[in-house]
Amino acid sequence: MSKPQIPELTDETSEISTASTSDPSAAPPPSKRAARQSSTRTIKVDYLARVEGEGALQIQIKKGVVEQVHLKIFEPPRFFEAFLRGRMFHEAPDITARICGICPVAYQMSAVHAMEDALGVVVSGQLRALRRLLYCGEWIESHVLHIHMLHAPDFLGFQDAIALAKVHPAIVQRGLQLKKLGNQIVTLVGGREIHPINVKVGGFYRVPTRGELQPLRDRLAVGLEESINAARWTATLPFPEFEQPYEFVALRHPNEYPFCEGRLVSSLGLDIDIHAYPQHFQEVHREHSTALHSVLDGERSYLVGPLARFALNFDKLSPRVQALALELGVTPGCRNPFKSIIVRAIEVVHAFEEACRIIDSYVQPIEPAVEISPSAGIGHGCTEAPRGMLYHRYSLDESGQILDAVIIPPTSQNQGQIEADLKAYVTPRWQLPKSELTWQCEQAVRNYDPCISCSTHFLDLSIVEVDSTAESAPGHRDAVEET
Amino acid sequence: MRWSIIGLGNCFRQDDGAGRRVVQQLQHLHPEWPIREVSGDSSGLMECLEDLELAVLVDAVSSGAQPGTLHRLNASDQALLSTLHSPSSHTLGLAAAIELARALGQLPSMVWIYGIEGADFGYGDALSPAVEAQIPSLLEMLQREIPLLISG
Repeated sequence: MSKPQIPELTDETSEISTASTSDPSAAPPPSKRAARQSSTRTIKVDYLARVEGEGALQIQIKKGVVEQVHLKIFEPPRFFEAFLRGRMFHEAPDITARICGICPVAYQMSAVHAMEDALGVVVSGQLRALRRLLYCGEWIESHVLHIHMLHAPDFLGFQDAIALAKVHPAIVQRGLQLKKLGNQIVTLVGGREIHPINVKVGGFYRVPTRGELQPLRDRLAVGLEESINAARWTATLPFPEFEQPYEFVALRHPNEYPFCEGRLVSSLGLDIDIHAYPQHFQEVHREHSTALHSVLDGERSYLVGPLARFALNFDKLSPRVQALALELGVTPGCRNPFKSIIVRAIEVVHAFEEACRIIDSYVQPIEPAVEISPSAGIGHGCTEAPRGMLYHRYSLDESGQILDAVIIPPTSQNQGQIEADLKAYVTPRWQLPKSELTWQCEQAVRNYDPCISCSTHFLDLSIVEVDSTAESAPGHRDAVEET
Repeated sequence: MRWSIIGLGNCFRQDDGAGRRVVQQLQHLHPEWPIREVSGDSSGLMECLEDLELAVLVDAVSSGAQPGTLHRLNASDQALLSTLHSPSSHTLGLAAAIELARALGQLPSMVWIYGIEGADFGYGDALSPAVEAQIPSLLEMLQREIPLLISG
């Protein structure tokens, strides 16, 4: 993925330039007439690199004021919610896993928990522990890949991970080794590295033996130490001074750093059972995007993801991980989104610790799954995907057929907040050279490790400067040509 | 010599699965040859390349050439034309995986890429007629050239 190319002038901009030199007495066509009244400059970058899936970003600046930031996510309109209708409850984990190639476990976990909620089933004990182990694997592989291949290059001015690897091969090599360990956990417990085949409502199709887990456990011990080194390295990166007054939302569990269970809490006092999600969280349609924006209690944007989990569950990390976080300069109140890279690295350490703990206490269950009897009902599931809280809700008829499905991914919940971040970030920096500002905006979007999977277009970044002075101002044209 | 033939591609994306079809047929013809398959996500490719002296990669190509055109590329001594463009940022394309391995000093000393130009990369598991028609030629080329590479 190349660094954003020197932005090209769009046709519209060229037309504006030529229009001003053409016969001034001729009435310009309507589109150009509007352009002449408020000349716009559009800088287009072909696509935003190192972001999963595709989307578009448009920033509108008028007289030095950021008027609008629109993150456009071109998402196929909820096909998954639609074609789940008529399917059987037990198909949901495998179907929803296909929504995402990087966090399929999260979809499977939210799906099975929602179905079990609907069917009045609780999966506990070692089966519950195995699910957490599986989730550890996904957090490791997803976070590590994002940290090293997608996000770190930004901080160090590299155009991509390959450029980073040429200068810092040991760093990238360590990242690849850590990711491989995450993949191995997912393969061992889930049966396959991508779109695990071993997960079902009620548990698993097959559970591992202690003997199968032991070689992995030995490798995880090494991985744990290396993950601490990796976390220390992330703290050495240069961070912009930037904070936002986020309202954090995450699961909170009485005993654990959350994966699949808990109440939904926020940093502004929300504390609800997950069944109350629909009463507090609504999706509203915004015109520029087919994606729905999620708001809390009417209008509040909120943040889900590692920073939110960390803020709301710091006390559930082990003493060693808490000490590491403080050593690295991140406290639960951290509201600098660029420092999310450190928090992800800390969650990787936690995931390695947790995986080791689970394997050490593992006793192979007699049955790989709990008995399930279909019945009518509505079920909710909230689990913590690497990117944040992922909500599923299903309605079932008495045969277990799905009548209705609602799936709200973390990235779409964060959309409003991403826009707010960019607006706050660009406002004092709008006069930076365009290519530099563009690069920083992309980095700011990547703070969210956004998963815009299943989208079908590129992420274009266009910064539209709406300047009410006439386009004939020489300064304007010079700046245009400069880009 | 430590060597391997690796077929790459996604069998559910029509011609993108051509490389894997070819190596599957090659394995029938040469059960003794070390042949592996890597699915759409080439991040597994880097693991396949570990500790090899010779890697022969077979993949579909989209370069604008006539569908069915056969390509042969020596990736050992030249950087691959790469924008790292991939439909997903969480997977590595073939070129990216090779360049990353090279940057980390993990690229085998000999890497040959055999490509077949695809026509359709849509959804489905059938190869297009243009690609299907050229499979025998590609198989013939591989059967002729791989023994030379192994012994060379």
